[in-house]
Amino acid sequence: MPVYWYLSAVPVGATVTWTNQDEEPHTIAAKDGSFHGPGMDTHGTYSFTFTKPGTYDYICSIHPFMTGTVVVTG
Amino acid sequence: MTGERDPQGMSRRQLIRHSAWFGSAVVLTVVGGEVISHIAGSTPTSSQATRPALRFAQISDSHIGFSGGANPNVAGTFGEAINQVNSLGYTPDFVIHTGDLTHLASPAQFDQVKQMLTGLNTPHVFTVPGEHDSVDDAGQKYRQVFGAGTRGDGWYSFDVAGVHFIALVNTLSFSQMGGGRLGTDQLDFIEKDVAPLSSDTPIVVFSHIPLFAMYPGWGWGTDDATQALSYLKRFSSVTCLNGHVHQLFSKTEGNVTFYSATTTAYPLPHPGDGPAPKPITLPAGQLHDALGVREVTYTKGQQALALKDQKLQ
Repeated sequence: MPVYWYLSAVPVGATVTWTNQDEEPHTIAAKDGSFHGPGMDTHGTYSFTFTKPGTYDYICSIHPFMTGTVVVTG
Repeated sequence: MTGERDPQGMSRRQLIRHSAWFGSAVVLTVVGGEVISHIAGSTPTSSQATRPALRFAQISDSHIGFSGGANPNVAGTFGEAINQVNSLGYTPDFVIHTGDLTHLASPAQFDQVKQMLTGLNTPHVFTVPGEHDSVDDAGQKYRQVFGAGTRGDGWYSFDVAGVHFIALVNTLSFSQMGGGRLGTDQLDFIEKDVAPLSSDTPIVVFSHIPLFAMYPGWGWGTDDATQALSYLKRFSSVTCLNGHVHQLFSKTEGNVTFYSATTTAYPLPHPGDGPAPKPITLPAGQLHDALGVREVTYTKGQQALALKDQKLQ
């Protein structure tokens, strides 16, 4: 599903904010369970601060075929 | 019929008191073991000379809380679906809502849908959760409102008129490919639940996400459904009823027939039509044709259940 695949690279300590610009609600949920935002309605946002380096894969728990990855560099 | 741990008595009674659930209404007629479906634009009439042993309605995907352009008044169309079920000309033995009762699983949305379901004229209302009902808490709020008498994460079974019903939860975890999952605890439940049943017992399975691979690219399937269905192979008639896809669809695989129900809220695209299953805004005046309710009937001595899908009127 390349259309829904997002890759972001940020340094340790960065806060990433997602904004839902869709009419459908979405969530940001780490596959390893390390973070799970609430359901975001249109224009809703969710922020998470990454404190450890690593590769974090996440999905939308409402549309789990929508996936993304945040790479946190040390 | 399902052993001493069967919670059906309690869950059914409590469900009734709590009210009813709705989405798309489907009334199924179970006759002898399978479900026979008709898509009818007309009012249902009971054509059988023999009164069916069982009559119930299915509604699905009410998405209370949605306010997009595809349907600015989902509570209104849900209310119409409830009225349509109440106007079938008989009292359904129960009504099943196959999930996405709410749009975002907020307490206010659960309150509203629960309140609306009390308007159903039926002794029992059953539900299964959709992924919209468990967006951020693995279904905790859903179970607080609708989980009385259920087991595990909300699954249960019950018997009516010689038909065995299994209500499953496949929206709490997802596979790598994004399909729904039942999980090992629920698979164990299914295997033990049906073990004491004779093979001529008609089986009806409710789930939100389809138990067949309707379109895996959009998560329209359940990864470990094959395992669940293997426990049902020996039964002469298995009917699986789901929601999630907001459109009518049916498919037969061996002894199992799958029926996807439509919604009471807004249509979604046909499988693979576009990049994602986003709500479709239809031209003015066409929304009701995409929404509906379903009747299901079972008549003893016949081999199949009968389904009749009605458009929202």
